[in-house]
Amino acid sequence: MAETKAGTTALNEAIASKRPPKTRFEKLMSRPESGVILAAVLVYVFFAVAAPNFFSDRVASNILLSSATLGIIAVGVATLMIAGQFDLSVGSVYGLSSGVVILCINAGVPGWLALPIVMVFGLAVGTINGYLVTKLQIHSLIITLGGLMFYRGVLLAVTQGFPIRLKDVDPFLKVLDFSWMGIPGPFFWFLALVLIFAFILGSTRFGGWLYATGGSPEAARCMGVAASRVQITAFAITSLLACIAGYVSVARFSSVDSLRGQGMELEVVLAVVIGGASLNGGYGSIIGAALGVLIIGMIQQGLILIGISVYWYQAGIGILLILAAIVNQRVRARHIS
Amino acid sequence: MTDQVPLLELRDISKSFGRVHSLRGVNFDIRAGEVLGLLGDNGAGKSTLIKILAGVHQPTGGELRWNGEPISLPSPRDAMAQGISVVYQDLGIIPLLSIYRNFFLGREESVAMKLPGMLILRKAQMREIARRSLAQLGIHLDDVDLTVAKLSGGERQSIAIARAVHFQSKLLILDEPTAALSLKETAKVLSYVREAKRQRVSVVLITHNIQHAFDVCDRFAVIFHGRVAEVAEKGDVSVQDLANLINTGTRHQTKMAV
Repeated sequence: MAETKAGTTALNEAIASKRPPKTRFEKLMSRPESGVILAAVLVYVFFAVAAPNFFSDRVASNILLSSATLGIIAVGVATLMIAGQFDLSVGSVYGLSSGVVILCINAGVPGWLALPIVMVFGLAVGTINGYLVTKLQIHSLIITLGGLMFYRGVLLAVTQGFPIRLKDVDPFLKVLDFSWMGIPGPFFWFLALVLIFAFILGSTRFGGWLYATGGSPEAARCMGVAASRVQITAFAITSLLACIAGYVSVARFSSVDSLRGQGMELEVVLAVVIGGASLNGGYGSIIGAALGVLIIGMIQQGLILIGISVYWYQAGIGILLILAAIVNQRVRARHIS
Repeated sequence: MTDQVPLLELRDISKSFGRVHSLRGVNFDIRAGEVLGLLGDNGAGKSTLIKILAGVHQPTGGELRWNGEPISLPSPRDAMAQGISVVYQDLGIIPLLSIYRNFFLGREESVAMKLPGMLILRKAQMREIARRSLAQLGIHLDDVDLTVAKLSGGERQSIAIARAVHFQSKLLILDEPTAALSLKETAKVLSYVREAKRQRVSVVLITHNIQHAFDVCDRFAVIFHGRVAEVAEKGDVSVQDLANLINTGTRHQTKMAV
């Protein structure tokens, strides 16, 4: 018995020696965000050198403002992608929720009350998406593509295709539309949500269950994870955040046109994937997604400053996505083997 | 010993999926602290039986008794709460999660701070417990932050077994634990089975490999076409008898005319 014990220990040591302990640097490099942090620094340095006025307050403020709504939505989409699902309806839900807020306030609902109303709306939309996907086993791309058409259609029908705006200044919304040291108010919402969700994903049971469900739904279920409920909750969070983004944008712009948020569903996937998330689920990071959003914002503003036609923006972003995908593939391989 | 109430009794358990009858009245029991080999060919109904014990499937007929009391297992969480742990061949572990996260997956309550609507994990404590429990089985993995995808098949099995032992499972069900393992790793996994038994955990070992089963099991139950062909003490059967039981449902080598 003692002999076999010694044998197993020797064997264990032999196996352990095949796997030398990692250095701090190697550990850092195998995190999902490592690629995007490097990319963010590179993009920043590039524009700092190439673009005049990149450091001006107005430019920085523009970048942060344009990142805020996209970023709030990206937090939800990243959470959902980690849980192994997609939502193509976020752009339409975002647009429609802005419309709902304006119609509510114009009908006499106070601004503070419009927030919970639109949040309940978001939770309902997401829960319906989640139920259809998990219970009926229909792919989320199909269900949410239907959602994309439907909610956009409703907004178009309600507004008759014309922009709608707030009739009067709402005192509550006015307070939300602040700037602090040149940082626009919406950015603080974005920042707060990033911190909250980074904590939830990294340090709570629900966060662990999201990764487990996305990684292998069947195995997670066998280990006692309520996989369907986790995914339904992730869908609900995604639509909820799209609606919060809609509310925040009304506070800023006081109006909505019927095409608000069109194309955002793909832009947000772009940001999340640049941020290191895997389309297969089970892998990704909220901080990474937030940096992905900032990179897109920097490129958008930077190209304008350099004086390159905005039309090249799309081409540039396309190349960036492909580069990011290649880099992230490497990072993931390091994480796994 | 034999007078004792068995840990788990299966009485007339049957399961059908539509018109397919996977199990037709299965009867046997699992005693406290024994290693029972559950043998049978592919499609004999072993997997269905495990999933019933794991709370994944519900039996269409029959009764389960735990320490003499009738029980039902409506979900995997209920089975876990009862003290039943299942280590699946390929569904036992999430490859992209780290070792310590896998160790506590589905059982985080014990290492979490409870806030309303939220459980916050105590990660330092989780790492420490995972490391210690693995060491107790003789598995030394210092970096429990490693993703499980980096581990060998035997190490993955060992994590699942260590988890079952740590959470004081009374019944550990291992589904083909030695399939796809090297000889060395197989020897290690079988030593973990003995170690679990030494810690008074009952083990059900599902395997194709009769030799592995014969090495560690006290008794055998052979399933043939959804029925129990025979339950035998180790002293009463030979490896050849078991092979015949698996292939023909009897101890005879040739199939009887049906």
